[in-house]
Amino acid sequence: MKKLAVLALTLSLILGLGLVGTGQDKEVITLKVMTTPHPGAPHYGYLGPVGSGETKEKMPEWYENSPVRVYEKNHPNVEIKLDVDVVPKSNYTKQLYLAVSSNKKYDLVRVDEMQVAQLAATGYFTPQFSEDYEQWAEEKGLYENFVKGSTYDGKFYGILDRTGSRAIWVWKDVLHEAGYTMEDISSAEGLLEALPEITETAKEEFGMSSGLEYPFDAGWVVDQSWGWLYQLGGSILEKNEEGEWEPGFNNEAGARTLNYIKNLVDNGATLQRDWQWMLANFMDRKYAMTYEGSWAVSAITSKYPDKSHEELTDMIGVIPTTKFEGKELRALAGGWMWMIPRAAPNPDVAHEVIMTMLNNRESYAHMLVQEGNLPTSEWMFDAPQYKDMVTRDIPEPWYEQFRRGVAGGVHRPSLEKYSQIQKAFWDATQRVVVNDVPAEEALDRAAKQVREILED
Amino acid sequence: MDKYRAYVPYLFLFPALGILFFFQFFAWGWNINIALHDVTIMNFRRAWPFVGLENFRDIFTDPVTLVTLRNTAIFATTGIISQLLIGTGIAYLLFRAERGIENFFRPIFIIPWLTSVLVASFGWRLVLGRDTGIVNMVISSLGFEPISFIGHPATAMLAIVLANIWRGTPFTILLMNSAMTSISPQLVEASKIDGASQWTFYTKIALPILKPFILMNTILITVWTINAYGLILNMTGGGPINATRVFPLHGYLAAFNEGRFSFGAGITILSVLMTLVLIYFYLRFYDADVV
Repeated sequence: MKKLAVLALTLSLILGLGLVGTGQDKEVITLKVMTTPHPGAPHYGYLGPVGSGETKEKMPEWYENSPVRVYEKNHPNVEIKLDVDVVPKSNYTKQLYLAVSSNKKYDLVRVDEMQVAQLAATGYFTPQFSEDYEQWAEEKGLYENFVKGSTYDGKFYGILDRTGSRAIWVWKDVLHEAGYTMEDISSAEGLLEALPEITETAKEEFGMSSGLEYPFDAGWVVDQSWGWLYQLGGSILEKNEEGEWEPGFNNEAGARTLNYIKNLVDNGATLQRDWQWMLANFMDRKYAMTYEGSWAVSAITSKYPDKSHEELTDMIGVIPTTKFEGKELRALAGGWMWMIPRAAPNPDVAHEVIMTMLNNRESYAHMLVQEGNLPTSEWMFDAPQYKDMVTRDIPEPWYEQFRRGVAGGVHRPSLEKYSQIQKAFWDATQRVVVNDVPAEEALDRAAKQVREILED
Repeated sequence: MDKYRAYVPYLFLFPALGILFFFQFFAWGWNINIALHDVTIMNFRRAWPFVGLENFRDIFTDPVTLVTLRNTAIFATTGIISQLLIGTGIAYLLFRAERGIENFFRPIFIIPWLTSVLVASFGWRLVLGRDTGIVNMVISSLGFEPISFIGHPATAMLAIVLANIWRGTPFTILLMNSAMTSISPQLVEASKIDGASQWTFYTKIALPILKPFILMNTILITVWTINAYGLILNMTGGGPINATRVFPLHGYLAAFNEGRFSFGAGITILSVLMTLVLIYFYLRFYDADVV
């Protein structure tokens, strides 16, 4: 009897193992990913859930349509696992450099537009899928500035798939109390003229800290004022007759841009070094106006969940960026994209996952809305899935303003030494605004520095 | 077998020397190698052109370098002197205090030293913040306009110096207090019997005993202050307009924000040389006989 029991147990073990073996026929592919965190995206970007339980419950719609799940549906014999290194933004450049220098075997790396050229020049990333991206960009109407921002040396290194629009957010009660309307402050000159009165009203009548808070000295604000530079006919860099790059800001447009920021400060704008708290300050009604991104929407709607869109737009107004009279709206529009390293263990899978993400409007729309980001193509802006979803969260007038901001975007020059170049101009901005150096003098110095950087 | 006995200690030393060699000399060799070549993030994965001392020339002709050296001098001098004076003063007060008071305050004084750089820098940003800071709450309540301490070149340096003193002083308190307790009570008693005044006791008896401790303390806080760029990076990022960009931070930002590794490596080497020169002068100043 005992022998029989042992035999039965052994047989059932063999049978059990055999069954388990059949279940493991699926090929498991681990995609190694490096990205930055996003408070609205616990699943790390648009790819797929990591630690699926919570995501599946919270976002069942997206969970099923996430690029990784769609890929698995298209390849029933494959199971994708995401192994994600989430690096804080403050440390991201350093980690990117370490990945490049140690030839780390990532399948996908999230890259900011301003670093595309430098990182592409390292040879760490592959342009081997360039034609696919080019075709996608053409078919889907990727805005020209994002086309240029995605390319280096004539090749696409990915698709800038999300962007944001910096905007001036306004407490309308303060604005109206000061005797102004949104229309009055939508031009650069109008805002400047209204600012002293708005500042005084904010302080005196509403007990606020000031009228407008303007971000300063943070990595991501370094070149935001360049939208005004482009509006006024200047540029960061331009090509001369010999086809060589040279500074495009050491001119009247550059001087007007820097003087405009200085005038804003002289008229009451507060330079905000603690830019991390800008949105919170605005929500706490410490400032009548703030210069925040389109992603502020999620903070506003979650603070006022019971307010209708009409009530929200009555309460808070938004201007994508101020426009000089008689000029076209131009704003610096960056974004993020996925790039594939040459050393990627699964480059084809990684590429297909990206294309799945880009082509699946359902999941793409869901992620944009979740992160409070904006699309980079006409195709996605027009997508009913996106528009339905986004206008559920964003009041229609705000949405239209953001779309204008993105459409009027300018890209950064696709240049390896961009980080050094932008710093030179940023130093000039600070010298004018903080140290009262004449704009022409500061720009001369910056232009000299930029020429040296370009020659080096 | 006995003839090999003399080599046994070296055998035991070997693992430690190996680790030391790897972590110190290899790292230094690698750093020097990078500083003598033209290495950027763009060409890191290709052949590195040998440029000799060109990177050092670039460092000294860079207009920002001079600013960073001046900033380093201000930051280090004020930081080191303040830490020494304040730390020694508090150590003395603790030394003279009742045992219960000493035991109560000593752990409290050490807390800043135990705080991580990240927490300390974030804390100081909170304390000095324009809209969120306690200091500005007081300033506003007195009817004055709030001050953006870390947003203006004139006050940003003050902010980082304060934060560094706050974080570094406890070490001096700890070390100097321990040093003071090592002075024999019999010596104190004997000096009293011989009629020595307080001043004579401290300058002629206590100070020579404390000298090696002061030297060690000065060396350590010099090294830590010069290399305290993590605190600055998190508080001001070196700004505004390079007002708080100290020399080692200049190297760090060049290497890890702009990908200019050779430039950064060159600055690292120069920073260490600068510190060594300072230590040499300390030794000369304090008399070499104390070490």
